[in-house]
Amino acid sequence: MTLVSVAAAAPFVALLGALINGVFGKRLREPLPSAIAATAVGTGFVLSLLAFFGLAALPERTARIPLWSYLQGGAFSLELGFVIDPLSVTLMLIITGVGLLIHVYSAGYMHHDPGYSRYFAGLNLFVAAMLILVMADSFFLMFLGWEGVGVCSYLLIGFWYAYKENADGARKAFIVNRVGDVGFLLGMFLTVRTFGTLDIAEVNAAAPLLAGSAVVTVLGLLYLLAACGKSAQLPLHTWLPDAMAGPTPVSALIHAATMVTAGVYLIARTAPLFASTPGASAAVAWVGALTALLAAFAALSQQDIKKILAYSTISQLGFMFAAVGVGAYWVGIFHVLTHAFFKALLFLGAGSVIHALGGEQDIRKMGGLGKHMKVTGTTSLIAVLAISGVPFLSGFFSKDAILAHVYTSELIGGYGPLALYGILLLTAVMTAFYMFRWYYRVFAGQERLTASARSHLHESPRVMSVPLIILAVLSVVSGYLGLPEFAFPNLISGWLETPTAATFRHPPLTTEWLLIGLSTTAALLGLGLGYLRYGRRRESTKTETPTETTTARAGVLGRASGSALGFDAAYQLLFVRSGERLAQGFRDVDEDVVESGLRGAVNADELGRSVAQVQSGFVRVYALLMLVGLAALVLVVALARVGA
Amino acid sequence: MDINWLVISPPLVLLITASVGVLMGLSFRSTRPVALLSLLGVLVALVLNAQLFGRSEPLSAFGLRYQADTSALAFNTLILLGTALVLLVSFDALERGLGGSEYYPLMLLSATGGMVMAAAGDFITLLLGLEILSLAVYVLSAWRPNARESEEAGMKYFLLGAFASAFLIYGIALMYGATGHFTYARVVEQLQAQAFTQTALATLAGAFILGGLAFKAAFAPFHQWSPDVYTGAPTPVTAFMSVVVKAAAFAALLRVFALVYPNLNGALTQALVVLVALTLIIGNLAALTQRSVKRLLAYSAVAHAGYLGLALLAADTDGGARAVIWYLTAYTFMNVGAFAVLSLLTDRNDRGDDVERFAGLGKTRPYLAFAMTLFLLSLAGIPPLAGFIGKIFVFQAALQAGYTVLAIIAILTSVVAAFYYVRLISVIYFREPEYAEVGSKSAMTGVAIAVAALATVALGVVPGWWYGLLGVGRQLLAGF
Repeated sequence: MTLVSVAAAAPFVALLGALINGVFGKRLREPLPSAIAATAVGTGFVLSLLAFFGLAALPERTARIPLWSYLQGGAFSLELGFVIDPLSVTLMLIITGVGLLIHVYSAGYMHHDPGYSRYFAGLNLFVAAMLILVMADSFFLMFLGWEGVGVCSYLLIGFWYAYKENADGARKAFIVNRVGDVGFLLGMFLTVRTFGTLDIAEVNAAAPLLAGSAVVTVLGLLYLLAACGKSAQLPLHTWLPDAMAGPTPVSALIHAATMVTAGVYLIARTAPLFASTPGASAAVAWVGALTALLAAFAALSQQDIKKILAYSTISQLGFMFAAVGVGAYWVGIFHVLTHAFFKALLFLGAGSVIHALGGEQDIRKMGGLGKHMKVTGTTSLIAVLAISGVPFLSGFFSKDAILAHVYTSELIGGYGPLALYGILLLTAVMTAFYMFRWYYRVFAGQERLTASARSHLHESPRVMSVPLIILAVLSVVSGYLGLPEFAFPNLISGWLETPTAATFRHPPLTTEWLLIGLSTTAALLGLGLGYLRYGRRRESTKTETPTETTTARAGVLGRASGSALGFDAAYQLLFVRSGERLAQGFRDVDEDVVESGLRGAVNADELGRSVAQVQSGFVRVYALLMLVGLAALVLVVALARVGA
Repeated sequence: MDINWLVISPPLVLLITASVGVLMGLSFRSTRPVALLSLLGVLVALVLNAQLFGRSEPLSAFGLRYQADTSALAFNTLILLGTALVLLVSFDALERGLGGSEYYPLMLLSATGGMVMAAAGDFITLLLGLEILSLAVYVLSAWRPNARESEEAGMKYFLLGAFASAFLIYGIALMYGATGHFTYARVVEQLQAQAFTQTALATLAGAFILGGLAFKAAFAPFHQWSPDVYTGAPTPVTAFMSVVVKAAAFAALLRVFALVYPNLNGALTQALVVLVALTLIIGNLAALTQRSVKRLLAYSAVAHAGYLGLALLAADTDGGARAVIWYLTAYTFMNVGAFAVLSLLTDRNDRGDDVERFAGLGKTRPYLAFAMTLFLLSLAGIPPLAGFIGKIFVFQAALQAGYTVLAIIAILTSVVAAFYYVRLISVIYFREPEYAEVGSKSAMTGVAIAVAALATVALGVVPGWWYGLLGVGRQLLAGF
């Protein structure tokens, strides 16, 4: 029992927490469910820390913990096991660390909710499934976690299931995710066919031998489809904004910090596979860049405090995809790390505001809250600056690393890197712009509160504000793990880097500094434009009333942004309507043709009845049938004898 | 003659406990002391049986007549576990108005017979075991006081059982006529000898023996007693029949099919293919229309015999033999569990087992409803429960042995099966309660249900442990 292998207990502890809350929850009084859940996740965090230190001491930097053999038979066997390496430990620390803070925060946020214990059971179950996902050593076990987090996401989006909107959001998330899951399943089938195993390490070792072959590219594309579903990338991004119907801490944990990064993790985990197929990698990078741009564009004119953050999450995930697409796997995970802190902070800040205003989510009815909610306002400002990429905060370092690696990538040929770089740089400007708008409309400027919200207004209790402060600190310092490599010591690249075929150019130092200058400029430009658009109009906003809508006076671009380029409407038309018509058609065929047709002839019910009718109850009939059976047996034997 | 006391200790302990139990029953008004004594006896036998499991040398007693190979020990574990669970279920049910403490000794005697059957190394021992097993169950089937259908069940079972025993005895006699031996080892020796000329007679004997054992295993068309008897007997006894009697029958079938039948004409195997196909189709279709849950479970038991038969066809391969045992393990827990839940919902004299009893159970007794759902899903073969893994092993063994068409029939009929199991689940959760009183409560039955539920989940999540244990050490079936 080494220090590393104790980490194997982490998902089981969380599962135990979920079981206790799930089975006995109704009998537990209010603080107890949250205490149990937080203890379970906290234990997971301690175990992850132990694994981290154990791993740092190991020379080979990877440990496999076999669990048990699931199925065996013939040449095929399914072994279950965990793999603890820098990649999985980093994710484990994020999941349990941020998870712990959000559990604590939830204890305050969900105060007095009738589903208190159900909420914490779901949250713990999510942590367990997510840990299984990142610790799995085979695609099979990873898929178990993959589906597990999907189920928990569904349960928690629809947590207040009595409202149709929430239930619809939950269903939408689940159904859209199924499309990605099909990709994962097909990917697994093809993996078994190609490599004869589902063990990730073995596949990673074997994939480079098939580099450039069509089958690896198809595999890459299938896993990309899976990743697009879970990480809300084009064209499967539509579920995430609607997933905001769940409680805000859930949005912070599942739909910002952890679950949605599973796609990035999947690609980073199978890095050698993707590195040996430039085609699929280019697809990853382009999907990421286009999603980043589109989502940032959509975020420009949303009016819901959480929807802006949702689009911003999609956009940031696009950045991560671009990073892992160009082969900079550690950079993608680095952005996962910093993003987990500042995006969780933004969501918790938003939750704090919603909590304070008694459920108000429309930013048109906010404003000037900074002076009433000092902690929430200040920490949110730090997060906004971090995500905008203002120098010396965490988001700056990770976003700059992405931009620099995209620019210098050699995995994708031609003008690809340059085009991707341009798109992402533009997106960075937009990011800063819409985040400034978010902050300004909520915390600064004129107060536009409704009377009931004003009466409700209060700073959140300590149990909620302390996690905010911790996350704010982490949002500042976590970036220093990954200072620009060319000039400074970079801790995280050495820790996370896996040897793959992906390479990068090493431009002259001046170019490197120029790139940094450009990304700094992008951030400041975005914030500056935001100030010009929103901040300077302080005097003129006096006339603005809460009922005024931006879309009413918006042009074509504004409308396109408000409807996120109309993807939802298009899907509604293409899939939902046609799906409904198809279902109606099937029903008609079933009722008119199959049912009525069968009613005349023999239907299953009658068949069953006639079978049971031989069951007359008379012993003599039974005995006779036994005799007939035996005679038939003897006859078969006799016939076989004659035949021979 | 060697009497290896250690090897025969597990059935011996049961026998002694049963004898003491009869005497003890005379001096107590309540049935509970005897129940506890019986439970103790079963647990001791279980421990004795378990300690034989790890030994690497071949174990036998009375020459080769009692074979304690891995297969026998595994089946005996199942028989003992099944008996223990049924004893727990009976504990309060008997006090509720079934009465009579002789019930427990009879059950132990029956289990003893089953254990002897599982370990039988010759046809005479097999027959003796079968009769010990059957006689006690005939009596137990008629145990419900003032219930005509229970008396009817006992009588029917006895008459038809006698009929089937006649098949078996006639087959054994023919086999003796053909080979001059009763012991499997000697019979096989003769069958394989160059100079052997009586293949026709031996194959005819095989047909009769198959007919006799097919009755106990409830293969169609020898299954017709089972729905009537299962419905008439007290619910705990039904549970006992559906798992212990079935385990013993399949233990015997597995041994003769793995050792003796490969040396007979292949037509017998083809005959079994037809029996299995019939069993799968009839069992599942008939279950579709049942209004009584007990009867539904009876037909489902017939259908499961079909799946076991599928693995039986591959009995001479390691995978096939393991699949039979593994499937029975899963089946023991999920089926006893389902019957245990049912026993809590029927009336005092064990009447009233229609589907409506389950309506609204999800609201009135959520834990019971959850356990029942688990058992039904497992019976239907839904992952990650035990029944699913069992089906995988069975289908895998059948496909590897080349029974593709039969495997397809089995998969198609299991779709039908899913329908009637899930329909019951929908009644549990989506219908309003129709009965004001919600049946009885019993801590002991609760324990049995909890154990069965845990095992159903654990076997499904960690199937490799028990599967691997079957392959450790000695050969699965002693090949002499």
